[in-house]
Amino acid sequence: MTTSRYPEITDELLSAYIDNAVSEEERALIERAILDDASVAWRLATLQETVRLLRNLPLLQAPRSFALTRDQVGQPLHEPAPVVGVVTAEPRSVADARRGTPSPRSKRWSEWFEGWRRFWRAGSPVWRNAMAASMALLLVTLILPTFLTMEQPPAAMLSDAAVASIPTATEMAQPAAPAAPDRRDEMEATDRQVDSPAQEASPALQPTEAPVSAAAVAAEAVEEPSSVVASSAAPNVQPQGAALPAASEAEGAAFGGSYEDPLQSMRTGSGMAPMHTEGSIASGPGEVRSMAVPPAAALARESAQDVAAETAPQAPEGAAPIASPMTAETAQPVLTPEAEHAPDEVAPTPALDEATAGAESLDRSKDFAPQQEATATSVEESAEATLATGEAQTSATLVAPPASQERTAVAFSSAAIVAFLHWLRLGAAGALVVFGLLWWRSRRN
Amino acid sequence: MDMHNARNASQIDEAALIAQAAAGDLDAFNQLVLLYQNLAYSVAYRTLQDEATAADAVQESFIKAFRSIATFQGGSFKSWIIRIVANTCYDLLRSRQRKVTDSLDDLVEQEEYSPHLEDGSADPHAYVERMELTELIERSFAELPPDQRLVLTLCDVHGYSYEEIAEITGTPIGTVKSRLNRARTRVRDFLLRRPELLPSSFRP
Repeated sequence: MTTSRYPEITDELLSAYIDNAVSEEERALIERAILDDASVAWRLATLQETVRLLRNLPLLQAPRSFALTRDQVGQPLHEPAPVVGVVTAEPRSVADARRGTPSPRSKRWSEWFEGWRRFWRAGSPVWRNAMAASMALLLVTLILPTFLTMEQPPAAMLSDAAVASIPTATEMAQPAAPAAPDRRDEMEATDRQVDSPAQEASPALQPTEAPVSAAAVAAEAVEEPSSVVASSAAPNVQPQGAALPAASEAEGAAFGGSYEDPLQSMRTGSGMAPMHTEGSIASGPGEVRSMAVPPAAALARESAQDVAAETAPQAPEGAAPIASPMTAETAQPVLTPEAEHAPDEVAPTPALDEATAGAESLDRSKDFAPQQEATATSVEESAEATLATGEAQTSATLVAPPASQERTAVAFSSAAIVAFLHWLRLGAAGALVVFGLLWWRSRRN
Repeated sequence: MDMHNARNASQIDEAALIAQAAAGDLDAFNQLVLLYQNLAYSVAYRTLQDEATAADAVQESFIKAFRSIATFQGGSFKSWIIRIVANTCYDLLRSRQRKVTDSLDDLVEQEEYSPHLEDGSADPHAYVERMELTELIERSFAELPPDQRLVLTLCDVHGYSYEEIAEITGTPIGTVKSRLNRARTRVRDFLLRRPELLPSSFRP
């Protein structure tokens, strides 16, 4: 630390001296000290040289032009603010329209669009991107269930989709007789669609089915084991060919009239497996077709064949002609009054009523046609056998159906997916709102 | 006489541009931007010591100026612009203190060639010495606190008076004097570390 004879002369005073910001007394003192004290002179000289070097620094050139764009200042294109004190008229004439001047409406739209574009480009891009991502996620979660049900239906629905259009026996029996041939054609078409391999394997059945009317088809549904009996009794008729269409019809009857989207059924809370519900409800003898749950179709065929094998000696030949006398003219008047007095203890489903009426019509046909007593007896026995078969099917369906377990698993997974999508949708919507608010706040900042 | 007329004409033009810009004429304001962008960038760069940040500060300052030009009460438009730049630089410095953005790339970049320091001297040797000295002075700015940096830049580099600096920085003149003196002394001490680059007047 050097000692100076002029301690009052500080660097601040010297700096002010350089800038001519000192009084006359201070100036005189500094000039006298410069002459007397070398250290003061050196301090002043180095400061002056420093200031000189600083003043010689070049003016930095801007790396780019900082001229503002209209986007930066949020000013719409071609719309300068009106000058203060200047009245600006806005003429709108035919000549302007001819020149292509935008109309006030299109101008308003362009202003709206421009304002929205500026709004979208302003604010934090992070929040904007997050909001866009959440919006996309929300859209995906809204659309995804539609694709899940349309493109990838559950496995249980895949086999039923083609069968869903098959009219049931009840549907075929209810309309008047004139409509029967059309229904018959439709049924044949759907049968060919569903069971074409089986029918191709059993061409012998088709000629026998050709004259059968719609009511006869309904009766055939009740007499399905008898057909099997006939098939087993006649070796030239292929048993599988007779059993498979019946089973397929049972599938169509079970699903054609009561098809329900499993996702929809889960939403409405009707249960995890609507097929089980239908099967458990059915308890009457006429409900065999309704109870013929598709997974248990094979079991049903086996049990039907077993029962038919037991009843075969009782009605060996009557089964075949049963269906043919049941024309639409005889079945329809019988069906309608009997259906009105259908027993109430059975589940009041239309299919069940119709099937029960069909079974009773067979009893009445026994009165009108004594020559068919044996046939009627065999029909009753067949109905009992059918009841036993139906119970066996019900028990088989309720006890351990492997395919039903798969359906249950599929339904459960579908329910899980739906629940997951529901919560994902809620989360995405919430995120969208939060991000929007944050983005709005960042824009305002 | 001609210079006086030219100065008056430029002042009239500037006043007209300011009036048009205040009315929302962006083109008129951009002419003002072109007039003062180098000054604004120079102040911002020497205050912030970072090219990209300085450019951002200048751009943001001009946007602020356009949006608030209606509040311009007259006087020196240049000082008004530099005040906005100074305030923006302070804001950026405060935000930078919260998050340190220095990186190794920035440290390397300091040693690289800076195009804005280019000098068209004919003598290559003198040019190199001048460039080294200029870089040394520029580096000495980094040794200063931001407030001293700004005052030193405004006073010694751009020739603002104490009163103008006090108005720009919003501080009393005494504070400006003390900050300027401390800044000059520290820069001088920093330059004395490399006496071989300094003129003979620096050597005692």
